[in-house]
Amino acid sequence: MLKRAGLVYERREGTRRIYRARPDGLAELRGFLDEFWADGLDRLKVVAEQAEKGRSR
Amino acid sequence: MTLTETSAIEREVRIEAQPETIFPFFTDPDLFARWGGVATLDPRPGGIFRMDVDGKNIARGEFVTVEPPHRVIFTWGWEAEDTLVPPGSSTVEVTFTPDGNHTIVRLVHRDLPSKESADSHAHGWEHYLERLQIVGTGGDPGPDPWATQAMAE
Repeated sequence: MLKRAGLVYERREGTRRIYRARPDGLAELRGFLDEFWADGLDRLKVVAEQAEKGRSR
Repeated sequence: MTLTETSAIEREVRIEAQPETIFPFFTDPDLFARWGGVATLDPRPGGIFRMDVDGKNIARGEFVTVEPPHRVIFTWGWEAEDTLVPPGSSTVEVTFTPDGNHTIVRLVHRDLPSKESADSHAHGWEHYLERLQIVGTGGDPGPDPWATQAMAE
């Protein structure tokens, strides 16, 4: 019911389902975004460097 | 809203690639998906920026500035009702600065709510929850002073 109301979100990890509230509190949102952008830019580095190598080959 | 009421998140990464290689990863949905997730992108001022953040929560905004391969700015917020950060309320600026055969990618997510604005958001809900409680127990909360204020402005 909480899920239907959009108050929590569900993430599947294998057969497990993980429910978590939308990160919307102040500290929670900052923590979430800090991690989200940090992880994103780390992945960007990997894929962009691959793309650069593909280009220069 | 004054500057003291918002805060920012800053991140920097040094990538061994040219800005021309990296920039499209922010504007091409196929490339964006390789690092940021499934997204709908219309990279021109006023064009949509919409991304699936974690399989459940959607972030939405608009492109503000698109200057390949130097800079891209888009707005960002939760596509949900009752959120502290609605679409358009915060801004993400990404700059690409060449550094030899590397590029410094700097991301600044600004205009995020600070303690004061979060408190004021909570205060807003308390106001209406109190009134709802009065109605719920059969009482009459009387005219909403906030609504009267808003009408007068």
